[in-house]
Amino acid sequence: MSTFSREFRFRAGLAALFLVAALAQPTIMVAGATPAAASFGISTGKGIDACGLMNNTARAQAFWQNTPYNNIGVYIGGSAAACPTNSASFVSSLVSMGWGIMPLWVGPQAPCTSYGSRFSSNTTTAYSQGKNEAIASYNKLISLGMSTDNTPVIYDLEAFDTSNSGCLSAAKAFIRGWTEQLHVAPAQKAGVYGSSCASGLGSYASNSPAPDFIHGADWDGITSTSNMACISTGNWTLHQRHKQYQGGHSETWNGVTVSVDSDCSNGPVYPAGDTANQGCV
Amino acid sequence: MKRLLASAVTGLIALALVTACGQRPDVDAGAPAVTDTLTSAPLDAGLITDRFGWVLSTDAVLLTRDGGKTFQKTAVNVPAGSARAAYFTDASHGWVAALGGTGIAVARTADGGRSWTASTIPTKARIAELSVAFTDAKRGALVAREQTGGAFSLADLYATTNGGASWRAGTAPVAGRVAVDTAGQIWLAGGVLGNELYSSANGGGSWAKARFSLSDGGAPQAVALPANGVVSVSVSEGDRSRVGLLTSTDNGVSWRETGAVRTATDTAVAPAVSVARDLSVAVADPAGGRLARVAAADRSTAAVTPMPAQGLPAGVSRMGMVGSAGWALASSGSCAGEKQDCVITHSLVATTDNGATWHELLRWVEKLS
Repeated sequence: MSTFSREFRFRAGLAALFLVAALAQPTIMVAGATPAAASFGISTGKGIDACGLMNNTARAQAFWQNTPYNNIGVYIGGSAAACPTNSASFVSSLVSMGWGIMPLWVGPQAPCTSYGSRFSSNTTTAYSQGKNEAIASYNKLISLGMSTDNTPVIYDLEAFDTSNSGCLSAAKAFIRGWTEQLHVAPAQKAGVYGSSCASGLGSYASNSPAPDFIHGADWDGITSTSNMACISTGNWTLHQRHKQYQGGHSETWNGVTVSVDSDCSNGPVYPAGDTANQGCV
Repeated sequence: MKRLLASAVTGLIALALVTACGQRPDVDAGAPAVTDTLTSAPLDAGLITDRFGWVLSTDAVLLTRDGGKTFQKTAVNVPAGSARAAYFTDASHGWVAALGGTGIAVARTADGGRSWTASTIPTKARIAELSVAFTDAKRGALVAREQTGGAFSLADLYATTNGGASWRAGTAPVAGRVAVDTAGQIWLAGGVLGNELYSSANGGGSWAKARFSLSDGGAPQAVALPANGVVSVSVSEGDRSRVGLLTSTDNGVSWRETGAVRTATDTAVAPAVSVARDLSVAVADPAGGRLARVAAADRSTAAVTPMPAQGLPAGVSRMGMVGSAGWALASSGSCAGEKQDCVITHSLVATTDNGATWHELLRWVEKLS
C-alpha cells in the first residue's frame, strides 16, 4: 500500500464525512474493516515497554529467553517519540524471536498540557490531526516492513487535566480521528495508551467509533487487565485490554539490565498471540 | 569538585540506629543470613561504616549497627508503596519520603531514628517515584517523577533549607535521581534514556545541562549522579559495556573520561559504582561475580577488567564501599521453565575483604507468575 493510496483513502474519508454531515447525522459512521490476513493475535501474557531495548537485538534477546515476557512495546514513531525504531530488521528480529509487538505511536499531546507537541483545542482540527497521525503511523508500519492488516497500533496519549471539558473534548475528537482513519481498509486495530484515570481513556468508550482496545496505565501492581482504575468493567471486555501495572524500574535478565515498564495483556499484539496464563485476564 | 566531597549520593551514608535488641546468630560469610526481616522488595540501601547501614523496602525501613548481622525496623509512619525514598547524612539525621493520599509524606529524624517528625508536600500530579537527598541537616532536595509512559520524563522538584520542615517547589528538567553537594548545588541524573545530568545552583530555579567527553567520542547510555567528584556513565560496546569514570575541572559544567572499566555484559542503566573519600572507585559488573576497584592514581582510559568477586550477584543497583567493607543491593530474574515459574531475587550482600568475597545479608524473592 503506497502513501499515495493512503492519502487517497483519507480524502475519500473526508468526502464521506462531508456527506454524512450534509445528511445531519449526529455521529460519523465508518464502514467496518474488511477482514484480511490476520496480523495479530490475542496475548494473555506479560510484557514490557523499554526505550533501552529499542534497536538493540541483543538486549531484546536477553529479555526474551528464559524470562516471563511475551510482549514488547515498540515505539514506531511520532513527533514526541524519544526512542523510536527506524529499523525493519530490528522489528523482524523481534518477530523471529517470538515477541508479540505492541506498536506505539507517540504524537502530539492534549492541548492543555505543557508538552512541546500538542494537538489543537479546536475539535474539528483535533479530529483531522488524529487522522493525520493515523496515516503517519500506517506509513511507518509499512516502512518497518510490517503487515498492516488488522495490525494493532497504540496511540500514546499522556495524562492531562480531564476536568478541563474543552481539553477532554479535543482529546475525544483527536482519538475519534485516530480510530476512524485506522479503520479505513485495510484496517488496523486502533488502540490508545494512557493513564487509566488521567488520560480520558474511559471517555473514549462513548466515541463512535470507539478505540478497538486500550492500553491503560494503572500502576497498582495488580496484573489483571479487568482491574483498571476509572475504566468500567463493561467496556473493552472482548480481549481488548493491555494494562501497564508497574512503571519504570530496572530489571536484570541474563545479566543485562534495562529500565522497563511492566505490562499484562488480554488483547491484540503483532503478529501473533500466545496462550500464556500469567494472571493478566 | 571538592565541594562534591562528602556528598556521596547512593551508598556512603551515615546512619542512626534504634537498638540492638532481638539479636540473631552471627552469620558466616557465604551463608544466607537473615531472610525474614524483609517482607517486601527492597528499594534502596546505604552503608556508612563497616557497622552501620539502612535498607528501604516498600513497607519498612531497616537499620543495622552490626554490619548487617541484625536488622531492626524503625517506626517511621509513612505510607507503604513503591514510591518511596530514604537518605541519611550522618548517624543522627535521616529522611524517608513516601507517596500518600494527600501528597508526599516526608518523615525526618534527628536522633538516629528514635523519633520522627512528619511533614507533607501537597502534589497535584500523579507521582510514580521519589528520590530524596540532603547535604547536611538543613539543605536537601526531593524529586517526584510523574506517571508517564516510557517516552516521557517529567518530574516536580522540591527544595528545603530547614531540614524538611517546609519545602519550596522548583522545576525539574527531567525525572531522575537527585543529589545535593556541599555547596548546596542540586544535581539531577535521569531523562527518558537516563543519560542526562543537570545541576542547579538556585534550588531548581534554573538548570545547566552537563556535557560529556568520552574517550571514544561517543555518548553515554546512562549517567549516574556525581559522587566525590566522579560521574560514572554506561557506554554500550555491543554485547558488553564500558563504565566511564568522568571528572570535571570546571565545576561540573563539562566532564571528561579519565578512567574506565569494561564489563562482561551490556547494561542500559546507570552503573553501580561507589566512589570512596580517597577517590578510589569500585564498579560492580552487571553480570555478577566480578568487581573492579580502581585507585585514583591508577585511573586511566585504558579500561580495567573486573576481578572475580565470589558471591557478588548480577544486577547490582546500589553499592557502597567503606574501606575493605561494602554493601551491594542487587536484583535479578530467572525462570525454572520457558516463560514459567519466574522470580526476581532481590538480595543485599556484604563484603569485609575489599570485595573479593560477598555474603548475603537479606533476600526477598518476588514471584512473577
